[in-house]
Amino acid sequence: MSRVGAVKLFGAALVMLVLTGALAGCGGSVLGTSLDEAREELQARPSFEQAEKDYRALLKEVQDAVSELAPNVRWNSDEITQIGLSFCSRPYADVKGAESAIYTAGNGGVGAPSDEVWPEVKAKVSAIAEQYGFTVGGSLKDEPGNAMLVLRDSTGASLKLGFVENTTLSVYGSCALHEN
Amino acid sequence: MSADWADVQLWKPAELQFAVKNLQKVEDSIVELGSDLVGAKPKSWSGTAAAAALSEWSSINESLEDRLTEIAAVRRGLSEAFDAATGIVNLRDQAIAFAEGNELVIVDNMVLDTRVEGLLPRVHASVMNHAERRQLQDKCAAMVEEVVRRAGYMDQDLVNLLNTGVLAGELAQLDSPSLRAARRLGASEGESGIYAPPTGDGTPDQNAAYWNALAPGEQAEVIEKHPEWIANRDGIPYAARDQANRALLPQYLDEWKRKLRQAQEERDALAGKYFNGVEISPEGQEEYRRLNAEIEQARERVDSLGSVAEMAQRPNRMILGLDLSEKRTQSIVSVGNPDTATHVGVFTPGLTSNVVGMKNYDTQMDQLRAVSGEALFRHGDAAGIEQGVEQVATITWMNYQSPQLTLDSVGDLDGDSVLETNSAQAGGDRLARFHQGLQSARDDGVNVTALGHSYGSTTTGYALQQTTGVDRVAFYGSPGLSVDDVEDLKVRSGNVFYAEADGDGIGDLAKFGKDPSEMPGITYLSTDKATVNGEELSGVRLHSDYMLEESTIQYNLGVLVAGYPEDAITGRSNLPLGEAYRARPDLGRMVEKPFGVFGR
Repeated sequence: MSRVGAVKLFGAALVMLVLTGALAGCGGSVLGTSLDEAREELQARPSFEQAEKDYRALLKEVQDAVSELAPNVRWNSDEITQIGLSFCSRPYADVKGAESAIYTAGNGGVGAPSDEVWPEVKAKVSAIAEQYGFTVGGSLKDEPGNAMLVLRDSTGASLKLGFVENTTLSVYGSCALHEN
Repeated sequence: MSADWADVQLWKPAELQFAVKNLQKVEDSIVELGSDLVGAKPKSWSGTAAAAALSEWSSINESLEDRLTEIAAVRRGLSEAFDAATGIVNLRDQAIAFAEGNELVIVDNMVLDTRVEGLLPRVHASVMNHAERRQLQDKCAAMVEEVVRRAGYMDQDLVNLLNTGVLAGELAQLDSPSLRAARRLGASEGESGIYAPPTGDGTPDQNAAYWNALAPGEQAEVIEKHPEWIANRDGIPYAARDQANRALLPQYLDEWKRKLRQAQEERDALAGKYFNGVEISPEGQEEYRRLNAEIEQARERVDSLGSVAEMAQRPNRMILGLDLSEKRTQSIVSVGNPDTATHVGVFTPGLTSNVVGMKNYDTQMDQLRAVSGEALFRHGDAAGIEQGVEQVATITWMNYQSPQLTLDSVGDLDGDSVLETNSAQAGGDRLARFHQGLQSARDDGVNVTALGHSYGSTTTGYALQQTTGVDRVAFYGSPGLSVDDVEDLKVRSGNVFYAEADGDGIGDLAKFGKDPSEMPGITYLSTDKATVNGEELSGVRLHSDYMLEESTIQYNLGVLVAGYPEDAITGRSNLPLGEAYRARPDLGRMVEKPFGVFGR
């Protein structure tokens, strides 16, 4: 190898070392959980099917609570629907049979809780969510006429309730393994 | 003589269809006449007169076959000309309507802008106005050019058929065993080839015009017989590109699996000789290295194509690009349909990103689409959340050689090294074309947000130095936007956003232009944790954290893609490194290059 080549190689190795530390997993699998570890972590979670049941139950209960406290919100439907289905993010991206999904309640509610009733809605929704393990989080945005409450569980699933003119209520599910 | 714009103004395709129907009737009459002629063939008659009659009968029959061949060919030629003329006239009318709707005038084969738009080179808004007018003018000009181009091809096809096939007697020289065969032969001879797209890549406007000048049947024929023509062609509608790529994907996968097997077998055979004591010559060693490189390449192709195939099976995915012409596979995958979405986000990932690992980004785009769709509904711009989500398409644009964290890549200073801008510049040109294609492929306005992370932000910066039609851009964790002044980006003032986590060292490198954290004219997006209620939601801490599911930045990017920048949570989450150093004179020297090893 020429001297210039050796210097280049050394420089490249040095840069890699610096970037590897700085990136900590950016885009690729530089550092992180192994595939086996990732699978084991997922096996310790509820299955995709069980998680879906739980998310649906949570959304239904929260939807009812919002309707009770803010009856002006008219839901487009009574259904809980899936609006997204994808692979899992890292470190679970390559685990076979694992997926994550997004569910929404009532295809959205036309109208929004008033600013006066919103604190009560938040408190009630947080209490319901806590029973389902969504204990972490709070208001991502909390302005008059524009709010977003986000609550997370230990697996990384998020319950999101927000409004401007209309109200949205959704669960962004975490990664889970299918039963079959 | 080829047709020009003025000629096409007089075209009435219905007259061609009328001629086709009449020729069809003539063909039917000839076939009927032929049946009668069979009955008139001399059978139980002999002698000189009989021989003369039989000769005359054969001559008439042959003449009928020749004429039928010619008429069937002309009928087929006119039928195809009708399809072509229909497409041409449709595009002609589109061009006229587009010109009228945008204060443009078509004169002869040129497009003139009637709006006086003075260019003040130092005034960003003026530069943008001028660029946008030019974009409209170019789009209209491409339509006019395509009308003339296609009309010329169609005209020439017919001239060739009539002059060479009929008048010069070439068709008559073809033999057919029967009238029915003559009819089939003529129809086949009259067929013109499939009309090909502009040579080279074509501009997105040219490609869109090409597609719009094809009749629906012709478009289907291109997808079926030549998917490679349009699979990666910017300006072609995305549904067509998706169909083309889905047709090509299994072919590519089979081909590269076969190549992988073959190379492995050859290498194993060579290795087997070595283990059996045969001395391997220097040529053999070279061959072994070559086979190893081939295997590595084939494995990359098989893995990346497999990754695309998996994404293709997810709901609402569209494969908008699949390019095997470079060292690493390139692809573009959309969640949602960019042909119909009112809001489109185009995400360009950075260092270490590749198609093999693209599923991770696909997941992020699926979530981002939902966040944006929900925002549309919250603002009353969609009837429901599902409808809101349908109005959004979020695209992972992995159509460049993004640098990898390997010795080969980092050390390839003339190639795709992260230390250089080669990949960002080349990728930026491609990305600009992709954005231009979004404007070219659609007649209605689409709201476009560009998203660039890490080295992908540099690539996006290069793209946006060109006129692209992008409405706003959000960069995050950027080592530089390729510019020192935000006004060097062709994006309207107030529509450039930047997010940087406080623990993101890459964002402070200022390697490819001024540190965006210190650039006036940029709106800073918060990457902080959400307001605490009990424990904390994840804020973004590191270079790779920006798209965490519940992070502030995901919300911010979602509302930007939905077109509500006023909803974004703004504020700096990191201290600009340069400013921090400048505040301490003893460290001021380090401001220019925080990491000396990254010198340009």
